[in-house]
Amino acid sequence: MRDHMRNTVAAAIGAAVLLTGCTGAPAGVASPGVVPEALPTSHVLHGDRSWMTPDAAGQDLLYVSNGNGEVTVYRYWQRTLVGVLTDMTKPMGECVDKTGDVYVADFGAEKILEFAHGGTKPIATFNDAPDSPYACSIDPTSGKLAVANDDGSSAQGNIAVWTSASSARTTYSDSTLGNFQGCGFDGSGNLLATNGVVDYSKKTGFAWLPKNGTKLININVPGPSSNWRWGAVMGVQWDGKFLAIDEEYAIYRISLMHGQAYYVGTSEMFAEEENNTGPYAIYNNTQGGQGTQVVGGMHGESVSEVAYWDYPAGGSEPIATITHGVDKAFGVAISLKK
Amino acid sequence: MNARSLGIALSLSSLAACTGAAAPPPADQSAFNRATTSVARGPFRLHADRRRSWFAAELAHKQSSLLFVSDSGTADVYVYSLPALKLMATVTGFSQPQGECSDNKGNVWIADTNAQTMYELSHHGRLVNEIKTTGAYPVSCAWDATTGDLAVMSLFNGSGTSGDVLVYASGSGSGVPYTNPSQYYYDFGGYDSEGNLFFDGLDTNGNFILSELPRNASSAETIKVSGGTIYYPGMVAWNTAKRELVVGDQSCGNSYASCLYTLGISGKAGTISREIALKNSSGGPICDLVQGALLNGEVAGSDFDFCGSSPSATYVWAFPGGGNPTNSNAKSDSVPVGAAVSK
Repeated sequence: MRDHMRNTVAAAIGAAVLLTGCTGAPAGVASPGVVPEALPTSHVLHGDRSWMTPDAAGQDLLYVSNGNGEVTVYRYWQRTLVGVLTDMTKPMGECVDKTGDVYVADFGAEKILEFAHGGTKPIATFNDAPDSPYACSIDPTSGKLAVANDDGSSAQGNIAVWTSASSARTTYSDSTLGNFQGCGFDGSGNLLATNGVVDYSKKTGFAWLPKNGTKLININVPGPSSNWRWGAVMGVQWDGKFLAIDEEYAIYRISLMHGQAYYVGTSEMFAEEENNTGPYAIYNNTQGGQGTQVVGGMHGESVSEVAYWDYPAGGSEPIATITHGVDKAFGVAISLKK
Repeated sequence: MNARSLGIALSLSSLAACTGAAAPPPADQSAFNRATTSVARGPFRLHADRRRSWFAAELAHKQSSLLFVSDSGTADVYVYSLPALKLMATVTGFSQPQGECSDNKGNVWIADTNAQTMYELSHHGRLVNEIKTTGAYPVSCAWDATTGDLAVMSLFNGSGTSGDVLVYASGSGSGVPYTNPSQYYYDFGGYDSEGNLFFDGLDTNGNFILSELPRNASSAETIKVSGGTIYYPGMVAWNTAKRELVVGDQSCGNSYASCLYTLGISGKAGTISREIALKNSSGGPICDLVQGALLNGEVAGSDFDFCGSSPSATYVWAFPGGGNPTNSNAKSDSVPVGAAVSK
């Protein structure tokens, strides 16, 4: 059934390519997990150097942080591998700026690397030491980089904000939340941060950093029911209209207005025999519009993959998947071609 | 200019005697446990809460004015004496309490946005009624002294459409929706003494908008504001003494500061006649007065201080003088939002 659905949705993706004007898509859509025949044999997936196919820069790209320390890069629509970024210790969360540059939080190296769309070498490095970067977000109004730092159960993390790679970072801490595993700017430059999945003496919660604000403000974020309690929050994204809080199999859409959060709706994404590992990335190629697809890492006992769903519709099965080169994917990012 | 007299915010002065009708709460009020007992009288029950409500013993016989402050950070409602701002009760069990309004019985309505419910508390802080506003995002309310109707401002619609005003005849039944086609977000409202409802919010471009739903009208219309710029919608109340509208700006001067404006209303025009600056206990501008409540010669409300200049606190200021507060209490507030005076 699942293969049938995937074949069906492959056609749907092809249609989506047409609808979204992504004319770079080929006539046929590659099957999930199949290595493209055109991939040069000299390219090795688990090599010691980064590589990227020459045509990658002209494609919408999907970046995937893997448990083996590599960031694999795919054509977004074809889902075929076009490159691998190496020389990272433990890549985790990713984010993208307006120009398509991709930022990868290297948790183990205590730094964030900025790559140009389709590039193989970092064009900037943000030193986050002594903290451990878990996830990141770019302020669409100012270009500031915010990083959620998780320094473990015995230490307190923070939110670190840079105006540029050469500037000193500003950190914001919150004793209630302790550490941070996710953060996302909304369209107005307000940041919503979370301590995410906690396994110690904290509860999953949220804090708000107003645009140009000087301190984090704890904020109650409502969910689908009046007595909702957050648990396994994996990340916070901006879907173009709402903040999207992902928690395992669902994304909860939230509106943040002047320090008050409002629950708007839920998108549920399911898959058989796999656990969503999140955080998700939302595909959005319209200015001011809402994203139309969501992508996230998943892995179970027998498979490790990246899965696509329609958004905000969600679905009982992914509309497409990628397995090639995926090893316990964590962070994902979508960088649109220029 | 249309004749406008006593509005809901100040009409309470003529209604104080009515609060004497409220029966005293049970003797065991200090151990009031919402999770198990929830309501002193009647069938209504707030949702479970691990923390207990607390009521000062003297509140049971308190007949003087009280200030109700809702706090969406703690999900509680605080009851303060006026003008001293002594904490008299902490009512727990809400989900996302925001804007408030009071009626002629001294009861206070609390808009619980996430619970999609309007809760009515007695002068003594006891739950006496509730209205489910299923599908709405209730953020504030206004009570019409001429009819007893309750207007509930529903901020927006989660499906991507604009909010509206729901009017509940005599504070019960089903709400009748009213909209201004130019308005998207619906924030705060207040009736004048003729039963005309004024409410603010943001238009479809994200700019401040002031609307009026004239008494018996089927739709609302825009009041064009001149004489200044209001950036983010705050409180709306009618000043009986001056026959003018009082509107709050949560982003005064397009900054992290709040102030009040008085507006003369003539037809479909509102002219700003005065800007009222409000200061915190440190002498700086308050960060965010979400909703304030007028009383005789004073305005009371809370500063949600996300600016970092001073703690969030509840204040009383002179009105219309503003300036430094005459009283303050910073012991309880987390994310204070709504304010209403019960007489």
